[in-house]
Amino acid sequence: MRRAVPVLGAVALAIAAAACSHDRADPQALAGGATRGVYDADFARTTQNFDGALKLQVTRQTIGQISDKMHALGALHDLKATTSDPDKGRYDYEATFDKGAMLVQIRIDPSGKIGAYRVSPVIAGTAAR
Amino acid sequence: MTKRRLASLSLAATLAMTAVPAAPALADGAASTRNILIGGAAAALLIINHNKKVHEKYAEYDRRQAETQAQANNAEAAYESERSAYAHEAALVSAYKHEVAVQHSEVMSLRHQLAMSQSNAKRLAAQQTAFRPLVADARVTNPAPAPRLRVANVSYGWGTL
Repeated sequence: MRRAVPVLGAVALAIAAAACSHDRADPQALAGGATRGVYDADFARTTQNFDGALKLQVTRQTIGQISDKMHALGALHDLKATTSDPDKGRYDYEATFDKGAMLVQIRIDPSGKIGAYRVSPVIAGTAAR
Repeated sequence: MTKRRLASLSLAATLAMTAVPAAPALADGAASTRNILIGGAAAALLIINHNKKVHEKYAEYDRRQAETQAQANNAEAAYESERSAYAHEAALVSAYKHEVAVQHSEVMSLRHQLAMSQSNAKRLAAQQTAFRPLVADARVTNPAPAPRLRVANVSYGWGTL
């Protein structure tokens, strides 16, 4: 009986952790994963953390188009956080490339999945180096 | 002078008058004929006048009858005219009612179209807001930190932020 108490407690903690998983979702990791997926034109990796509604909007063709624009800037390096509004699930990152940068913007919905993913080219000379 | 004496004297005078011989009657034929003609003419004039008055009375009666008839006819004609005018007014009112109904229907149709256009305009404005450059949204939602990056006025991706 005494052994069962810690086990039950662990189970409860696991359930609570799962319930609060969206709060623990690392936005930068999600954005980085999706950006890397787009850059690689990898449909599965791109949509891995997209919510159901967003997955329906994604096509291989649009992934390829964005991937082409990213490749035009060279190799992808990393993402740097710029602004965020956690209350609204909004996070912006600067994705740096060899020859430029792009602004990556995501919105994380309460389920912890990405509800919106958009990238915008950064005008040359304004990127943080 | 008693009453007897007066009676005797009057009787005697009467007898004396009867004793005086009477003048002979004049037998003038022309005058008689003239008198008869004059009397006949007078009678004829009287009759003519009488007839004239009678005819005048009848004429007056007929004239009044004619006037009355004319008035009656006029009243009837006036009634018919009023009735016709009323019918025309009723038809006009009916036409006005129909016109009002048509205009009401048109107004309702225009209101519906206006509401639809306003709804479409709102929807379009919402869509334009949704598809607005993302940087602008970021500035609106989080105006405090000034954006370090200047981004192009286009964005690629999926979903709305």
